[in-house]
Amino acid sequence: MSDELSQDTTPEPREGIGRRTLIKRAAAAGAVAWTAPVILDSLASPAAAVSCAKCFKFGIQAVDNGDANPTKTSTYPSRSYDVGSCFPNGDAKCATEKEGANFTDLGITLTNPFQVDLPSSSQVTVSMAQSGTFAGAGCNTPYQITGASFIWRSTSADERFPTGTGDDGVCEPAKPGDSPTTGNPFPHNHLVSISTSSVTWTMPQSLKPGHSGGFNFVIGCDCG
Amino acid sequence: MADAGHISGHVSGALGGRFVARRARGMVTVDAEPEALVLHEPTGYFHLLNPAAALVWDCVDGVTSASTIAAEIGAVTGAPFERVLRDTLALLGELRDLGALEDTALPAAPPVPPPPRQRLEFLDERFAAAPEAAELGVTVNGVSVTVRATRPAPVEVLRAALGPLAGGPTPGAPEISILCGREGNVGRDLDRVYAETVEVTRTGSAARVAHVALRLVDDLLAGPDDTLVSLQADALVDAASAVVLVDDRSSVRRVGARNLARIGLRRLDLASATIDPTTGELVVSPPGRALGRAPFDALARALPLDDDPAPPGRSPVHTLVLFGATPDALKTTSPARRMGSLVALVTRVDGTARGADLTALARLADRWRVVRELGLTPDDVRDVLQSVVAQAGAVQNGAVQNGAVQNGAVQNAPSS
Repeated sequence: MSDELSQDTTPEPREGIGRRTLIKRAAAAGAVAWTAPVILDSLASPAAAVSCAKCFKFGIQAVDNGDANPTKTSTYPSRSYDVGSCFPNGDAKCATEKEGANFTDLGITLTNPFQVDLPSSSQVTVSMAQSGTFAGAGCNTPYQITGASFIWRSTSADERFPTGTGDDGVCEPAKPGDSPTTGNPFPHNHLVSISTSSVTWTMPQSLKPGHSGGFNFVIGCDCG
Repeated sequence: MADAGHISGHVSGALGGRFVARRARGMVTVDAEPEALVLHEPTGYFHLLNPAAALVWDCVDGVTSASTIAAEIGAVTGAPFERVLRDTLALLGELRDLGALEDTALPAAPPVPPPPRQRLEFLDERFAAAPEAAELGVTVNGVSVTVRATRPAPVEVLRAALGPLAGGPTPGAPEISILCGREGNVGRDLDRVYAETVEVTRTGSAARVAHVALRLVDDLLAGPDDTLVSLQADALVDAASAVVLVDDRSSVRRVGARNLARIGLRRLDLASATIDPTTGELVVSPPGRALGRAPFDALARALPLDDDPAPPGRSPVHTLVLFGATPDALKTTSPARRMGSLVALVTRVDGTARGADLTALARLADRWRVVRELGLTPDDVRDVLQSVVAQAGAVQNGAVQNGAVQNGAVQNAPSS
């Protein structure tokens, strides 16, 4: 890796183009094989990315007995297991937990059922309405997803995990901008998509269906 | 060379071959051969360029037209001029739309105003709900810092130590916030000390709170040392006086001091990890740079501490642990993307980032062992740190010559 730091702002006018640099670059780029110039990525600094004036964090349990179609947020963080608490991005800078809040009050819609015993063909999506200002919560804009995480566990009979490890837990965090993980090796392969307005996960087909998973969210409004 | 005005059509939006671009104010280039990272220092925004885009960017000098650039590149690469021009204009248009460069035919954009100071809203909420909250201000050489606490005791301790230096708070000054633990049914929360938006320590010791807060006041008043690189990272010291730098502070806090101690690490109570770019050592400056020794001596007499939360001196860094990377980032071979993963470390609390710091950090990352991990749970973090310490010990003992992959991490080989 070169250690060269180029001139701040526009360089001084020079005779032609900096040919030495040009040739160095061209050689590295393949010289005769011109490829289209591409911006690989454009990113804001993490400090700027998470600056929301208001934030809330909450859990949604994924269960199959009694509340597979939740309408309210649950405790945060949702579940814990042997993988510990599965905190999403933005957790450390957000202190306000919202337990028992109506989804409608937060602009949340979701697809059901939230059952982690279902196979990967079953997907769940949590969406944040992108209209309305939720003035009651002091917001001037709709909520955005800052981070999310999916925690679940199976049993020692689940042969996908190493044997003899007891009940196995998985924590998969995600934040807007992350790529899908569905093509990755098991077990961190359940993220279908995530943006600031929605997140979709596949179900893992856990062998322990009752109270065996949950989702955590950090959301914010009036984000810079 | 082709005629600069040969193609004058609107290939990308309003851009034609005569388009002359200049780099926007505040943009710096950090080479990641053969790619590049272009950084907007006032905001920390950055763009990652592939080799061809880096080549075009390199040619943007505020004088040379797009068609001349394309002709020069075509002459070197052998690619058809028309194709290179089309690609070049498309890139320049995109970079212009992103604010990375400007049209020289238009007036230069005004400087970006400094970003507003970030605040942790929950801190403000806690202080607003604390009827006993107290604060003081310190001003030295025209620089001011405010200390506030949700209870009076910490402020009164500091006021006594500071003596005549203690005064009223200055509006808008940087803040040290002491969040005193709340009484619960089964005990009391720990006290927390924040430097602006950074949680520096969490402790049940009133003495430690006061010592850390006074040290932070001194550091803020003294200001950053521009010959050093300030990293937004936790510094963990191991038994060999070497240091592990970790970029995700909340992860380290969840592991807890006792668990860290079990694996032979201790966290230094620092607002940032300051590195000598020449030697790669962690540098902890002695206290009293701005306040002088008197307040520290007074505080030590009033509230003695057995262990210094951040003993001054220099310690070699052996490993840099980057948490929270996505699987894609773990696997990438792109130099620019790997460089991009370091930007957060040099992004200051005010949102600005210096290209020189990023360049220096990249150079150091070639020397240090770098571990990139996904771990966000306490167990993950503890396991990663345990393996880092174990492997560092093995390296020091000569048992490991090259960085073996553990825990699925992708890492650099240790410097030879």
